[in-house]
Amino acid sequence: MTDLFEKTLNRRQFLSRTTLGAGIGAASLSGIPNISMAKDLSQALTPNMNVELNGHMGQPHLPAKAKRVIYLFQSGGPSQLETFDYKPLLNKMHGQELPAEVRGEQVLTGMSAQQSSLPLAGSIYGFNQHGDSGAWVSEILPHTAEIVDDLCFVKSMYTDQINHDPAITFLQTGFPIAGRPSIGAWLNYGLGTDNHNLPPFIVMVSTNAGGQPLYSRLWGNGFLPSIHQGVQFRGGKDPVLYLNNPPGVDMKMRSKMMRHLKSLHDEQYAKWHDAEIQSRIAQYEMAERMQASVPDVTDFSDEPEWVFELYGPDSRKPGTYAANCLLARRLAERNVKFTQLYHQGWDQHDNLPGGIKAQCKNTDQASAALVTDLKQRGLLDDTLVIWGGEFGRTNYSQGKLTATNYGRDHHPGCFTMWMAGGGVKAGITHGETDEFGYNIVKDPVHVHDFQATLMHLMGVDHERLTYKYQGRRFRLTDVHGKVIKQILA
Amino acid sequence: MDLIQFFGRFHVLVLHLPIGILLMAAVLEAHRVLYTKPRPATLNTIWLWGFMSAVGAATLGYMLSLSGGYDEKAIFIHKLWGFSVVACSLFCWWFFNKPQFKSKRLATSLCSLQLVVLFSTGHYGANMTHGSTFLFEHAPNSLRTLIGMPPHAKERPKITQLSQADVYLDVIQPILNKRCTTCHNPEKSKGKLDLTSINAIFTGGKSGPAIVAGDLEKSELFKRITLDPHNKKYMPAGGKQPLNEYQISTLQWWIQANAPTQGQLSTFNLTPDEKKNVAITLGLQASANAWPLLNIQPIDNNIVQDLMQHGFVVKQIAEKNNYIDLDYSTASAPLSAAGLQSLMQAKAHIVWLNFAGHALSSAQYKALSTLPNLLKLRLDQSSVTDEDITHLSKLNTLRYLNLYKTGVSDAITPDILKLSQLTQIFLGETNLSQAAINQLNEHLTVIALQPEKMATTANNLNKNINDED
Ligand code: HEC
Repeated sequence: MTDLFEKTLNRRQFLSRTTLGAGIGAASLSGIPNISMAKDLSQALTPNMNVELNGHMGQPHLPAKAKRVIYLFQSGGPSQLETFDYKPLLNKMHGQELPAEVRGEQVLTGMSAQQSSLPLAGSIYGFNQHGDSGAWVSEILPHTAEIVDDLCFVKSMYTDQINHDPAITFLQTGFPIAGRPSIGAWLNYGLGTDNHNLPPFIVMVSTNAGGQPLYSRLWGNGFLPSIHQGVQFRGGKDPVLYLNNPPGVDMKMRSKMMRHLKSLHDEQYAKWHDAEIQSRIAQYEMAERMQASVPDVTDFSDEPEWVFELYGPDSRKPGTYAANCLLARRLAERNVKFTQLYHQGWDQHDNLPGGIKAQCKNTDQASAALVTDLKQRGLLDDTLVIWGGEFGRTNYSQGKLTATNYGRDHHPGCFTMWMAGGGVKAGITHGETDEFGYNIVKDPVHVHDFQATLMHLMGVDHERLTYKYQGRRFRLTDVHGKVIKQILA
Repeated sequence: MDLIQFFGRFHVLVLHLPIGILLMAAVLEAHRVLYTKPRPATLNTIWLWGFMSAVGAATLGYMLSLSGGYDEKAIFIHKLWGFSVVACSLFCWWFFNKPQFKSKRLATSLCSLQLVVLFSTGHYGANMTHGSTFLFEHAPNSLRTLIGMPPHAKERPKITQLSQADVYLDVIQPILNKRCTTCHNPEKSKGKLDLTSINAIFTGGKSGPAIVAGDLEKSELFKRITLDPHNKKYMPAGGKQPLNEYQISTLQWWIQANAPTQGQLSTFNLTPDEKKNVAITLGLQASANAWPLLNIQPIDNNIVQDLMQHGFVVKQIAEKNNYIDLDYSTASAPLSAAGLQSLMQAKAHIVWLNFAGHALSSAQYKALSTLPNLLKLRLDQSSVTDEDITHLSKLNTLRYLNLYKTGVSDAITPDILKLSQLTQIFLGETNLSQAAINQLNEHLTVIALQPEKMATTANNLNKNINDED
């Protein structure tokens, strides 16, 4: 062994190899790669559970209320004032200045800070109360209005970030600067998978929307082994390319090749002890299994007519938000742990009335259909559905305010999200904003509180799922965050 | 405005300085004497500061004593000790500064003396603010008799059955003891309210009786515990742990039942819900959210391996919960005889079971009916029939049953009603009639949306929007 070190390793390699050394010993004993990571967790693995299946936690910290998550990320920052946070005072004061005492110390973006006037803008769309819970919903979300008794609205979300990329990164990874693992990666790392044949963390971006860019690092593994990163399905007819074997290669030949490749990788691993080689082996094996499992899940031909009517006509067009929602339901049926959808285009700095109406039209029906459909199948019981963006929008108009047109700037001070199923109370509203829809007056929920609650519902104590990297233990909620007890069913 | 009183109250702040500084001085001094180390020059300064802060604390203390409100005798004792602290520290400062005094014994005695007077002063002062029983309130009985205090009142025997509990002594008073009496007792009665005995409760405090039998609205106590937690008047005050919903409901029941002061619970008429609240309050029943089963031994590793070999996904429920979640829905092959056999070996551990989309044989469904702890069973889109449900009606722990898109019909209704713990059933796209669904709905939550209706509603909503455009 010492020979080998002297001959083949330079200083840098020596360091990286020996820091891994302690873990490798344990790994070869139990046959589990990467067990060194488990040292971070206060609970040791039960010997009979394997890491790929049960994650590095071995089992949840507490019984899970939700076994899977479908996160409908509305990217761009949907206006809370035209959707769920009904503020008649803004209509009354339409055109008047935002009072200084309401604005307080709130920093504005460079886009509207220069404006000589900050005129309040009331929602151009009317609101009505719906369901037994009497939740207020805007007229541009008629389908969501139908299901309010299944939803838990959080009207008092707030974030630290005022610009898109840091704000999305903050929500998805718990930190505004890129480099930390995404929520789905953390959950896969901690809890493993419930279906060997599909990736446990799948990402889809609507093709029928555009806007502020998204980057794959939003569903990245950060410092976790790369096996935990989200797998993006392409929008379009073939969500995963090259599933078929090339002409002249049959399944038998393919698996022979895979076995040989694995033996080569194993040889490499024995020499270098690089955990990423294990990730690579696992990814090849997953790809092989996906050759069968992906066509099965993405082929909608077994869905009856009423399903497409429920999700709306778009659901027949692969890659649209509606089709992705339907696909998300099919993934939930197959126990995929974390399905992340992104729908861009909610960034209405100007022309908000027209813009947001179009956004709602593309998403409202399918979001509601997903909840109803899961409920019908008994899946809403243990599937947590989340709808929301990265921040809210200002109660004053960015740019010119006319009778029929206005815009709204970014507003990190308050925004609305909704959740459904998976152990949250149905038909309630948590938190409250002031009459101006600008400041939170009751039960504020920080992004970390939201993340802590999500983890709690999945059976994870957010303070205990940590990973040591560069000498420090990291967790999704960084250094604070508390579970919102009031919304737990 | 009373300046003397204003400054006097700073006594409770400043008094910590001499305690800290003189403690440091005495310990450092004794240490260097005992270990014959050279004496650092700063020690002098520390003694001087200790002396000066003691003078300050004593002066402020004197001012505080002028404002009255304390027992004369207690003040006298505390004052005496306080002045000895000042005198002793002055002497120490002067004494240790003289290099000619070399007696080790004298030096350590002086330091010890300083500590004794210091702590005695503190102790007698604290007695004045916290009450003389504060320190030994929770001491073991042996220690209490040693210092001449009466032993603790005898605890009431632990209640094991709801019906035997005394309505006041076992149910109501313990709630108040847990959350309220630290601030509301005979010695420290905030709002002039003492909550340690039934008479005192009826007497009440500043705003009158805390409880008015039979009248929630007039009962100050109930009003206070049901306010918004942010309200200044909310009780328990000071951000102390609030009463939980079961304790509040129990108090509510008690007041509405005319606040009986004695009698076993069996002599009262409680609805099942009220019984549940009291039982949870007394710790006789787990709260609704708690895990419904007692924990069991971990499952044998070999059984887990066996289950995994047969295509099951096996998950332990949680780290301190040894039950398992068993999922066969992602397996491609039908369940084999050997697979069922290994499932049966894990029988007692299985609480969640998923056979969605699978075609089991009648014998296999029948076998499932013997699982003793099953809470959740997914048979959606499976081959389950009415007859199989007859067998499964023996699952008397089952909470959730999913029969979505199966061939079951109205015939299952009586069998479903036999499942006494069942709270949710999913019957969409089955052959059940609306009448049967309504019948079940009276007893449990039935989810059975009609697909066509869902689709039509969605289409109509869209039409409305398009019309407006
Ligand atoms: C941290 C100390 C503290 C605790 C614990 C506490 N209280 Fe109080 N309580 C106060 C103070 C201080 C007042 C007087 C101020 C006021 O009226 O709000 C008061 C006043 C009251 C009063 C009004 C008395 C009157 O007649 O005006 C009621 C009733 C009361 N408390 C009930 C309770 C109950 C019931 C609990 C237990 C659930 C409780 N308190 C726990 C500090 C406390």
